[in-house]
Amino acid sequence: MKEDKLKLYQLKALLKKDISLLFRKKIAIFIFGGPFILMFILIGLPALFTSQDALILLVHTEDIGYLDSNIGDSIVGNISSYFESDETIEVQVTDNLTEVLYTQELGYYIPNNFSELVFTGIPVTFTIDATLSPYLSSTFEVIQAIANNVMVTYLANRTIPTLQNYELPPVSLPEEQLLGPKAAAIAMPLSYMIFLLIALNSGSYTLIGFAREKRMRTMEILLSYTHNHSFLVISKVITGLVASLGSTLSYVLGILVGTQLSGNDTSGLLLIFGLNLDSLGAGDIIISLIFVVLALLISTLITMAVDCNLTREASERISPLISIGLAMFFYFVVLMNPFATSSALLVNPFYWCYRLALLLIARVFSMEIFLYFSLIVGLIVILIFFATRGIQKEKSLYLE
Amino acid sequence: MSEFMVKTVNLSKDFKMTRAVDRVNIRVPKKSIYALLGPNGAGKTTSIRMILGLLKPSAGEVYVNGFNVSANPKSIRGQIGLLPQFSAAYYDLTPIQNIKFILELNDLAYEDVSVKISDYFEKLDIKPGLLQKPFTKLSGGEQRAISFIMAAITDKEFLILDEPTSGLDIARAKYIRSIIKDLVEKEGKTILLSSHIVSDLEELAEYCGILKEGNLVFQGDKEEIVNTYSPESKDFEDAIVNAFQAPVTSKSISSEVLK
Repeated sequence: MKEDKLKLYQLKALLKKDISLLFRKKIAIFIFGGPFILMFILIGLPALFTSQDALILLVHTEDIGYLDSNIGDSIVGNISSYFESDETIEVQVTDNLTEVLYTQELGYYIPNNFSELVFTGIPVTFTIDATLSPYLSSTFEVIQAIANNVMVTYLANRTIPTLQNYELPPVSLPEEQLLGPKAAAIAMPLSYMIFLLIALNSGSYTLIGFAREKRMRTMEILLSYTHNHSFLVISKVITGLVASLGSTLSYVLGILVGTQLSGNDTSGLLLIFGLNLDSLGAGDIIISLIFVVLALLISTLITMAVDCNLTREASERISPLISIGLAMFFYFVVLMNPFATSSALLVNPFYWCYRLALLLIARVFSMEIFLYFSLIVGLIVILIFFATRGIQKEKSLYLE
Repeated sequence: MSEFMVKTVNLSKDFKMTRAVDRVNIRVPKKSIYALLGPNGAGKTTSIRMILGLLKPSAGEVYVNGFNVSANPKSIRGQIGLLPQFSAAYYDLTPIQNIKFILELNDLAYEDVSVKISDYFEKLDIKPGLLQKPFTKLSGGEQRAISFIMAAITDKEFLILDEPTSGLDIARAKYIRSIIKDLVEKEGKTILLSSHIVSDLEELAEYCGILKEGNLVFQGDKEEIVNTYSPESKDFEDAIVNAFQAPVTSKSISSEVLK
């Protein structure tokens, strides 16, 4: 017998078996093929039979602002060079501010000389828009590019405000000031990714969980031969993560193929999650993705801990709901205010992942980081403990 | 070290209002085959699960190879080879993958036992073509034979075999009995057997424990069971049937050897 006190060979054997089971034909089709087919059908097929509505850009031509020069017309003129053969953008002109104020219902407002970006409440729309959804964010990028081009060409010698979305708000929240532009830019995509991936992957748990072992009557063997029963849980959780990541990849591919088929201009992660690689940088995106994976890990563990401690019928109904409910609550609160902090959020583990990611991206190294890190590690240990205790209970041996 | 591989002391198990096992004192001598018998619902599987450390006794103690399992179930994890009552294997994996999984779980290399496995395959008429099919595509007898191999190759000193020949044809059942005998006689293993098949019991069991309604009503060798329950015909099957039908008394009959 080899000397291996931790018996890690058992974890290796369990992992090999669990992951191998994941790649069996029917399961692989469900986990890896399902999201692709679903997204392809949802996005690609309708696009073949429907036309795209034009995106409306609104220009306030009467505004000459503090630059004392109407550059709106120049922007409008320049749009054609950016969208030469693009029929998806339509430029409309307005001459009153009331219409501008309701611009969100119409489309997107291009300030003529950017004075309003600095002096009125309207620019706030831009700042939040840039992180609200991939569409708004990408539109803002386009507008910014056009405006920059115009300014460089026509206003080279003037002192003008730098056109960066995160510098625009006239009044920023203390939290925003603390966490800075990068965290502000990634806040919404990150919360969206956490929510979406947890919701997407909750269904696959039943395929990797212990209910399957019970059906195959293998629990007795696993519990008798395995020295450390936590390995059984850890192996399932890692397998769940592999399934989740594979499923997510399939989902992303499905959207990309679907949108390509529909003829839309796509820019990868920007289109799907609002993650802009150019403005955020690969490092920050990797940090975000690490915490998305961590949130998925916690989600799988919550589901497993509940599943293992309830009767089979109850657990199949309740266990995925708890995780999705927490994720949903977290997402909808953050959606209203990305920097919200409330006692209800502070007890939500997905918020811990989100907040920790934002702090790391903002390079704010405070006690808060240590607190959230400890909470996450502590929760993972507790959930593994509860799940392990659950599978050791008598009921895990019986088909209920 | 104890001379018994398994020793239970007033072992009891309650499920809500039902007492499934009542103050049972099982003694399984080392390097022997002990058959745990009893009608359906007598408490055999519950007793086996307590011996394995999978169920916590409501009262009493279990010792396996000297370790107090009831106090520390971890102490015997990985020490017992197990063939559960139903064919327990991964349906989607092939027989070879299932066998390799059990070997890896026990830190054994397939190459080291491949000769033994091939020998089992040959004896149990497992054709090479079957080995690459998913377990679920095998017949009931083939599944049972593979499950038996999975338990036998774990190289454990103590094996618990629950209905090892159930669902097998005559030839396969005969070979499994011969393998079980070899495991004890040549390799010095201890086997706790649970079976309803009289031919298994007649050929294999050195000692028998008869459970009825959660009570161990008899424990001793084959000769004793025949002398006690079928003194006239001396028929083993009759003795077992009579033992199953005998009323449960407060005092069990136990052989001196197993006290």
